[in-house]
Amino acid sequence: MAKIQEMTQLSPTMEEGTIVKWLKQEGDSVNPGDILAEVETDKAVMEMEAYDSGVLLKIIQTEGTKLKVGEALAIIGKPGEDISSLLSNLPKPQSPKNTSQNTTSRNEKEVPSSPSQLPAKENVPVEKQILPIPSTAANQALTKTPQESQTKDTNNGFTSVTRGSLRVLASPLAKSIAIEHGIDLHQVIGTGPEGRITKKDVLDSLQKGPRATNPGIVTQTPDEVVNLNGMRKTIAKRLTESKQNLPHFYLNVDVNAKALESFRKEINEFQASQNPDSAIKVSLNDIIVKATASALKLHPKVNASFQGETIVQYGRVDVGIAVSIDGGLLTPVIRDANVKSILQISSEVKELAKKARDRKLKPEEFSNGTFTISNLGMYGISRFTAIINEPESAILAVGSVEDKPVVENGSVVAGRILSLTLSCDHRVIDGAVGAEFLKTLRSFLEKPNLLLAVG
Amino acid sequence: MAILTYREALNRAMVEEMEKDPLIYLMGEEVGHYQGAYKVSQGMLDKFGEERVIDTPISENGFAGIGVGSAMVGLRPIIEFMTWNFSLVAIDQIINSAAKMNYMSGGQFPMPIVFRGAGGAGGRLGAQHSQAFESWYAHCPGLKVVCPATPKDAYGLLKSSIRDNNPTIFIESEVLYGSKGEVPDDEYTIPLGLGEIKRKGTDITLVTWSRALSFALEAAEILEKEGISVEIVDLRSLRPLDENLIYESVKKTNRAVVVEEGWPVAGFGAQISHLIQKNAFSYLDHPVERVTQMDVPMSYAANLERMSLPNANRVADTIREMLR
Repeated sequence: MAKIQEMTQLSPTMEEGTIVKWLKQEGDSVNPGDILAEVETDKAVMEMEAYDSGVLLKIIQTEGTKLKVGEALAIIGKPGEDISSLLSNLPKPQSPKNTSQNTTSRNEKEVPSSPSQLPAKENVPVEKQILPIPSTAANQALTKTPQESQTKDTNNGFTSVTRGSLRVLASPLAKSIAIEHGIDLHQVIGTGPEGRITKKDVLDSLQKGPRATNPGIVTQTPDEVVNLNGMRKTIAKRLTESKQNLPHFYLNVDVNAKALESFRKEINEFQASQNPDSAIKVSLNDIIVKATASALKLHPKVNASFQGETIVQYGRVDVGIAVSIDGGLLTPVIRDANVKSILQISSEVKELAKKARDRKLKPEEFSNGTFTISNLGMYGISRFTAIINEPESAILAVGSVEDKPVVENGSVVAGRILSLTLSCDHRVIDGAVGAEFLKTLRSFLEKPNLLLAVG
Repeated sequence: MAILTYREALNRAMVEEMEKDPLIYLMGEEVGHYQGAYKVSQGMLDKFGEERVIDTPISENGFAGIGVGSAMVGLRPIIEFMTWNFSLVAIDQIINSAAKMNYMSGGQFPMPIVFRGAGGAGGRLGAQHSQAFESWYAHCPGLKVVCPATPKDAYGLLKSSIRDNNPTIFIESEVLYGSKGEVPDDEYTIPLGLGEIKRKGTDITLVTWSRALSFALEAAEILEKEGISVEIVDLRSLRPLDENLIYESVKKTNRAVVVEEGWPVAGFGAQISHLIQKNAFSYLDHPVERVTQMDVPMSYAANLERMSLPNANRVADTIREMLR
């Protein structure tokens, strides 16, 4: 009896997934646990396992297709089994499929309602769509069809989008103008009610490019339109919600980093003497993670979460570290960072950051932190403010260590200064509470040997 | 060019037509000795005598029926309802006899009758006397429905209605009787089914008729100061309907709002917005909107009556929202 393999929920927040790559082909035999395909969720690229054993009889959805959790992906059954009834009972796709393997013939009477509805080339993932720009006046009709617009087949984390798979909200007039000028409405931002694209929006998009003052000059760089991938959407959604809903306030403190730097140097020299070949180089950030975790253990009010009617003060100290990856960022979490050694933290951070960049991070490795650290010191940023990573209540923004004049015993001397900014959710953390925490953290950073005294 | 009130323009139209054609007569409550409940037939009894200007008892069903019968045998009656609210008593005569006689007799009985009187809200007359019924009559095939908004239109349209060989529902606005406007001295008619652009504009088409034109014009004045240019289409008659005038305007402005005095549900504005979306779909940049009376019986209290009716501010707010 053939069975339908559905899009599985691969992470707690996953609502839909995009098929990146089929690892099994039609006709391959599969067993439960075999990896069928790689699927991009809102956070990472994950492996999707088969639930049944048999032969992969039919791949229903091609690479690049985005599906909601629970939608049919493939059919697994006995070799040669008749699956026509299973196929015919599947919900009809909403849009023309761009696949040569598609068995349902498109309704021949279907008239494309806009250029974007025209069938695209077979199986061309459209990574970035280039908006054609009129070479002279805005009212000159464009002859380029969307199919001729350039496509880049890169794999840099941008989701492929199947053309015509999105319903565009546009006024009838906007649609007719778009058809007339060969504009893809997917690339037009609507300003009307409910984001509807109006005549003005289409005309604006026509004029987007700088108009050539001299018709002889046609060296214009066209705008690049980048489709949001799952991660980009998640970042946009969650950080907007956090910045809108959490009453952020910011506490800034300058730390004298001389002791911290020499402490790091000592650790690395020690490491090099122990393992000349495979020494782990500890970064300042690794020590900051340890110090922060230790300070959090002493200040449970900061290591907390607002839960509507209650505030949860976590018993564990799990520190997330913002890692920039191509196309976004992830926050791998160091569990129980307060009880781990600096060296252990250092090697975990390196391992998780690599996984994050390879997009192999599992949901359990980047969720359920209790606090986050964001460090832009390596970019030469002196100080900045970070947006709290909900449901946490605070985030530490770490700048670079800089040469600055400081006053010691009444005279100005050269100092090494590290600037920290704590963003706090005022529903959970009051100014004084945040300040006390920073005071402790500063002590740990200015006198790193104190870290031996706490767990 | 004389300045006439709306009632004087109607009076002039009836007098001129009755002088020309002895078959025309006027019948209704208080049309004769009292000179008309709203003084529209002022001086007509003296001019034409009791055979042609006939006072009736309170009996709408009766005198409307007599009118229909007399039209069947060749007369050309003008039946005045004191107000259109009272026409409901005679609606069987209007809908079942007048509207269908020509059709059901295979063209043997033309129906050259005009039913006319005051329509819409007058001002603190309460729920039974403040109703706009043009949508009711426009619903029925066989009737022509005319709704003039100015003295000039009232004169030209009433003359065409009297000359028309079909039953005509001629709805005058009670609050407009005293309104003044220029009426050319030379005789003229305005064909039924010919709307008029009452104000040129570029940003939105406002479709209206009868009293609601005044709200429209006032709203357009307010909006002009804000840089919004409103084009106003006065339909003048709902049946026949000057559809092309609407479409031509919408094709230019890409937006339409219908402003009417009556209630929203199944009001004539719904038919207009249907026609616009059907026949000018590709030109629309926004759904067609409507401004109507509130969906409640008319209040008696003056302040509530004002809130119930459409007004310039409500029209302006709707248009602002559409152009946001």
